[in-house]
Amino acid sequence: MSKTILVVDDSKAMRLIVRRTLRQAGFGDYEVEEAANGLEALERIGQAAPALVISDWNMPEMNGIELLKELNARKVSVRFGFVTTEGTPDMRAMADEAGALFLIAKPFTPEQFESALRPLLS
Amino acid sequence: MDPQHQATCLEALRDAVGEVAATVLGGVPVAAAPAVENLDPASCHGAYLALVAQEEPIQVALLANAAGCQTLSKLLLGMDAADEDLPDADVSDAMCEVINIVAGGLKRRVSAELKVTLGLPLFVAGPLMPNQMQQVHGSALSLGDVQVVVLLLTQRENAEPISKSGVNQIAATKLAKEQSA
Repeated sequence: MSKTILVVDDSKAMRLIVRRTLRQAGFGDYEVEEAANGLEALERIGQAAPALVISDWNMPEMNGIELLKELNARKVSVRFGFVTTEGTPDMRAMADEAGALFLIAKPFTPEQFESALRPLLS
Repeated sequence: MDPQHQATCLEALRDAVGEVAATVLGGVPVAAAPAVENLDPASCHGAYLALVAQEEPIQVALLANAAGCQTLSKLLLGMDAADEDLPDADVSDAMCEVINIVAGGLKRRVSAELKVTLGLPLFVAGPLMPNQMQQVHGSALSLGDVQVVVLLLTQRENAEPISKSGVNQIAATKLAKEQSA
């Protein structure tokens, strides 16, 4: 399995926070790459598939759910989950339907990361 | 927005700030501060987020002075207060992320009573100048050493629809004159 996690968020601050939380949750041995929107993420995933993509939902250019649907359309198989401000039932249903493995609502804790990500990365 | 929903939203807003302080701001202590009667223009740096609650446009905001925004941004990024100051763009990004999370927390807390749709955050350095249709409800808090004001901007109950406001009336009169000329 690749040892890379791709963090997709238009906020530089949030990308830093996700990096820090990954470290605190015990995933410090993974290399973390970043993308600022779905289009950038598509390009990076095309270059080298990461072990996991952690994506925001609302982003310019291409949002998180559009990114996941585009990956599905291109038949790219990659573990994918959301870290987002809103976690409404509608959004969770949409994420589930598109194949997202988790949806973590902000603000989050390292423990939430650990319990959502450990089963996927072990 | 009726007074009961205003009170619900303000309380949810304060709780959401407390949750953000306890998590992504690293557990900084939160306390109520003396009420703010008139906002000091110097304390009006901060992040705003527009949202729609029950079809009414409202805004939430977290304001502090420039140094306070620096401190909160450093806390969010896991930096020490003594670290070199962040550039303005990073402060704006961090404060927008803070209000984004706070607004998400507000939505989660009031969703049983109010249908809320979130807009996008905006960082503003300068005094708040609400128009005559807006009502400002504030709560002063301290987040560690940083004094902040949490604001809820609602529409006045007796406000005229925007289509009947003075500016639009003048514009409509001018247009009518031009068309009849």
